[in-house]
Amino acid sequence: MIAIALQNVTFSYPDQKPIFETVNLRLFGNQVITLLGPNGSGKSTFIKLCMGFLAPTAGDILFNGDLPVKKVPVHQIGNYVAYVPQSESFPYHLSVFDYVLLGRTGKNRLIQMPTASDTAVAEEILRKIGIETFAERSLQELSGGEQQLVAFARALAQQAPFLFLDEIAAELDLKNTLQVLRLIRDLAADHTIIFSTHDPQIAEAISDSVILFSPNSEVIIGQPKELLTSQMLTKLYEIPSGIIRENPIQINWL
Amino acid sequence: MSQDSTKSSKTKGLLLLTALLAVIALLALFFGRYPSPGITNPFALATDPLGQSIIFNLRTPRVIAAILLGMALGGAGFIFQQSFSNPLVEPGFLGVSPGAAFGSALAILLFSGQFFLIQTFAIIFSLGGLVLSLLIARIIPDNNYKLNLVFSGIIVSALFSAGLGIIKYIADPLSQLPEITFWLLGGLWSAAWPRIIPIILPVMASFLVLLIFRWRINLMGLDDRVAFTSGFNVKKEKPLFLFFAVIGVALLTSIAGIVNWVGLIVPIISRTLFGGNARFTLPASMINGAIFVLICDTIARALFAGEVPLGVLSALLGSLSFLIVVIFRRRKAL
Repeated sequence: MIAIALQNVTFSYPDQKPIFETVNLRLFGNQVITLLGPNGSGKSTFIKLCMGFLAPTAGDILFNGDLPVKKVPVHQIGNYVAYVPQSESFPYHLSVFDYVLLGRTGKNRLIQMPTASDTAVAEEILRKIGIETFAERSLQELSGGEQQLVAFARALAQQAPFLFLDEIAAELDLKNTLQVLRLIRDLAADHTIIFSTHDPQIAEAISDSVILFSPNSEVIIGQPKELLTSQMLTKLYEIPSGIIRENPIQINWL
Repeated sequence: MSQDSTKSSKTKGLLLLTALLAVIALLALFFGRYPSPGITNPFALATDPLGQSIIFNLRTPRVIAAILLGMALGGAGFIFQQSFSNPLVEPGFLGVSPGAAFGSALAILLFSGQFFLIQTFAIIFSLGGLVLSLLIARIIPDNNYKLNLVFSGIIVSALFSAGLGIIKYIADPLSQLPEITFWLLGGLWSAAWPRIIPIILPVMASFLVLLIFRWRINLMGLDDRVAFTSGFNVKKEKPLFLFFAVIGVALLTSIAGIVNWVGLIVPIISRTLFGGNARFTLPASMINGAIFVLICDTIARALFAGEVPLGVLSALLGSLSFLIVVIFRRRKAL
């Protein structure tokens, strides 16, 4: 099942050289797809294009293989896409619980207040991520890592089939990183998760597919085993690098 | 459940504030300098046609205007602060107050003393200021709409302030300049029935729209990208809600002149009491604004034989409240 398809997609910011040139990709559903590449290689831009926030300069992006993203009205985008940015400006002094409830807005009519079932969904998700204890805290009081967990909870509350997570593990401690990665792995049963990271080891551990973004606008998709080789990573990051595969600790990671 | 108990305690808080507003409004009707400074005896009114006329024709429209002005400033201030994630933003920020100031000064310069034209010019230029700010924000080629609005608000406000400076410079220093200065200080002395009746309906309609959509108004505070994936059309809905928030301010400013500080301090106090959720804090900010302006205006008209400009009192009480909030802030509403 095709979740998202890119057809001859070219994109450049105004007056800049193209970040992507005639990219053709098919992302399959119910998978964890990891985006890997050096800083500035276009991972975040790729996410913004796929979720329709940015429009391609040329070409098309299709949901479910046949629905052009540009044809989806903005108020329905949330039925397809949920998103956690690398960093975000949070609503001013909203409580964690209310913020997670905002993720439910698209499920209701325009003027409707959240329903009892929305509250139940939000409560369950806070429990699942293990942050139910700070439901009443204000967003601005949280640490960077806590804010990332809360943003993840808000995205999950949307119950959208495509989850875009931009470096969600960047500020998490080891326990929370493993917990979130495990949750992502579980979610792949019925979600398509597009996940950007700087850690090839994480990519190897949780991905079904990997997309590599090289600084020269090249985009390659493949299986982790075939792409995450020392040769590829060294070329990608322009520094000798590789993945430890034999370490028994790594095998029990997730 | 803790969520349910939070909800019901906030609902109770809102009811309590509404009751407080009703009591203060009633007191304000009987408070003044007739027949002597202090409370007018309601039982003596039955045989006092002048007293009846003062309460019905002077104080009632003024109390209504004060309540509406406070609601408009408090509500719009909250919406502006939430949507810019900044506690120092006030409703006049997107060119609205400088627009009203410029428009009214222009009308005083061109048609000295004609209140209807001053009111009309204030409305046209304040809404014009907002529209201009929104248009400029749209044409700035950058995806950060929040920042674009900040830039355009500064540009338009500076433009109108420059215009106001020119008008003050060429105005007649004996007749027009004092009138401009007095208007800019703000006050509700001119709030008689004929002036407030035409604006009541559109003002109430704008309040109703904001209150009905108050859950959605929370989305204005989200990061643009997150708002987009939550189904919120940032470039269409945001200016629309800002526009509805400003209609009340523009229409009331056309009667009251520039009343500063209310739209800044009232949302901060309301957030301290109710948190950042527009579901409760938007109505709370409106009611608190009404209470604040009503108290200021009652003092303004009753304290001395001459009227104290409302803008001066609101700035005085506003800055003192701000000081208290800054020193004793508990829930970090700043």
